[in-house]
Amino acid sequence: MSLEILADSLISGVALGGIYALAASGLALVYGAAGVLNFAHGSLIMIGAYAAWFIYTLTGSVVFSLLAGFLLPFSIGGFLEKILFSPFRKRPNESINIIFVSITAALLLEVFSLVVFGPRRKSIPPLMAGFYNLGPLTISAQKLAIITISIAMLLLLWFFLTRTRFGIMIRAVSQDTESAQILGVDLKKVYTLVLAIGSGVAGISGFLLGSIFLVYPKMGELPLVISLIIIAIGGLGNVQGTIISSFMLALIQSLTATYLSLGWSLPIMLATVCVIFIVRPTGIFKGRV
Amino acid sequence: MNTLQKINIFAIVIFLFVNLVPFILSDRFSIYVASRSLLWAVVALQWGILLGHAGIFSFGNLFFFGIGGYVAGIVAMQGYNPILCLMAGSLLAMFSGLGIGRLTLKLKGIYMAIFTFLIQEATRHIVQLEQLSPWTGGPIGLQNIPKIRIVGIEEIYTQYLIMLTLFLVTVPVSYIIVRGKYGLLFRALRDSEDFASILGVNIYRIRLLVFSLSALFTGLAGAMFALTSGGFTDEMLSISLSIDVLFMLIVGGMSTFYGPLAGAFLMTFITENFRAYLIGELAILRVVIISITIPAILRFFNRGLVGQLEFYLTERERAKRFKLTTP
Repeated sequence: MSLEILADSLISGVALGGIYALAASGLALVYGAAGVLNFAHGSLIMIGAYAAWFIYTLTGSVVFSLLAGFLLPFSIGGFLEKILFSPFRKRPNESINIIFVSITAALLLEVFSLVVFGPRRKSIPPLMAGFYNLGPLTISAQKLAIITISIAMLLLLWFFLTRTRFGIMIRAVSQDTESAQILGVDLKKVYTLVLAIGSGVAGISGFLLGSIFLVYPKMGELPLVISLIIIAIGGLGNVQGTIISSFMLALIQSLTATYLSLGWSLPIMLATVCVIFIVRPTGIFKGRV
Repeated sequence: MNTLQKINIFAIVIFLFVNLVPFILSDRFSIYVASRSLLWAVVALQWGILLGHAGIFSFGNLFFFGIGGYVAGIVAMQGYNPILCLMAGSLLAMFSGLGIGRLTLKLKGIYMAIFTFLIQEATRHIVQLEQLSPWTGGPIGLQNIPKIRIVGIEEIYTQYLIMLTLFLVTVPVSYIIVRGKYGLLFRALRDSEDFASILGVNIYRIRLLVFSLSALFTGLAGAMFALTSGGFTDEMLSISLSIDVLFMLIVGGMSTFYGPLAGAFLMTFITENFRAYLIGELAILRVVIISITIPAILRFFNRGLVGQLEFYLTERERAKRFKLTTP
């Protein structure tokens, strides 16, 4: 019996880890390549969830809502870079000013969703109903769908970053901005693209989060905090390290939720971060993207 | 008379104006606004010293405010002496500042930003935990903290007097530090860390000192707030309150000494009046205004009010000295 509970909580941990990996890898990508510590990331997650909810209740198709959850944050992210972040580049206090501006963007997006969709919490219906029996284990189809979608999206992201022209440009910029610029990479284009891609990936994680929990204007706050913890552990801007540490933290969270209580998961995660900061001050993993 | 003296005199005049006018009007609302202005001025100044002078990217300075308030409130509800509560709140804030500084001050500035933000957000979630509600009151927050009373003085005046004491204790101390040797050292660290450390400045020690001092004073402000208002909720740790204080810093100009103070006086006056006369959709309107103004100020007016004034005065002085024609 207790083994089954353990297995169940491990599977929940993997499902949650997939969602966190999507959210945090977007943030890590944006920090690694564009140098923006994007505090609007949580709000972009929320926007993705709302877009997906809207399309899902309208059409009931997972593919279309995935697309909507990707495309709306994608365009908002690119827009943010164009309008808000780019005026502050190459000026004094660049990084601190961009942090201020991204916090204001987060507030503005929250207010926007509050005005458009109202304060009532929306729920995205489960992606798949029913259970699968694997020997003694019963896995809900919902968790299986979430694991499949998140891993497929992570593989797509990996494919994009390593096999396509733009992905290689993004990685080049994050490894060495000046050399990339000498070789003819258009920095403005890359910054806009990376903000858009990072936000789009965040939006998909918002859709998956919304299908487990609820969709409301402040739903992005906790994922933002958790993504920040994850990228701090994963070595800022390192996507592989980020993905590994997000699965690690999600497992820690689901195990504490099973054996202690849900409220303790955040304090314990934070304690983990403190320990890691004492032992390895710059995170577990090194290197970029 | 040089620029610095001119600005000091100007600041004292503004301070007297802010504090005397409520007494001339002598209505409760203006006294309330004055005491809140003094409180936020202290909080904003401590944060401004970190961000603008020492170059420490602290994004969760209200964490110390929250620690001070919660600890003082909890101790006061056990029935201890107010002085003891204030000491407990501010000292615990200082020690947590030492701990956070110990963890992050040796790292790049961005880790500091992430870590302080995380600490504040996590604390906001922790104080809301059901398991801690016997102490922190859970989501409702601390209610009915015994207030400090001075016999024979009305409550609103007591609140004002306590805030005035807070202001008159912390601001001169901060002034001495910022204008003195340590201020020079941490401004040197902000402008060029490598060069300062070559000249023999111990980066880590100076930063730890200024960080824990800021934590101490912010914690004291939080403790005084808790003991005068009689309640303390997790709202005091929220991001939107952080944004309000940051807005004061940005409006006033955070790399000057008087900028945060001026910003706090101005913004508290405006927001409290807004809050008194407009309700309902106001919260949304305020967020929209702030979110649009902050980027605009940062981009086009990044010295802030006091910074611009100082810039104007120094440029004029220089023009006079070198017989230049335009300031």
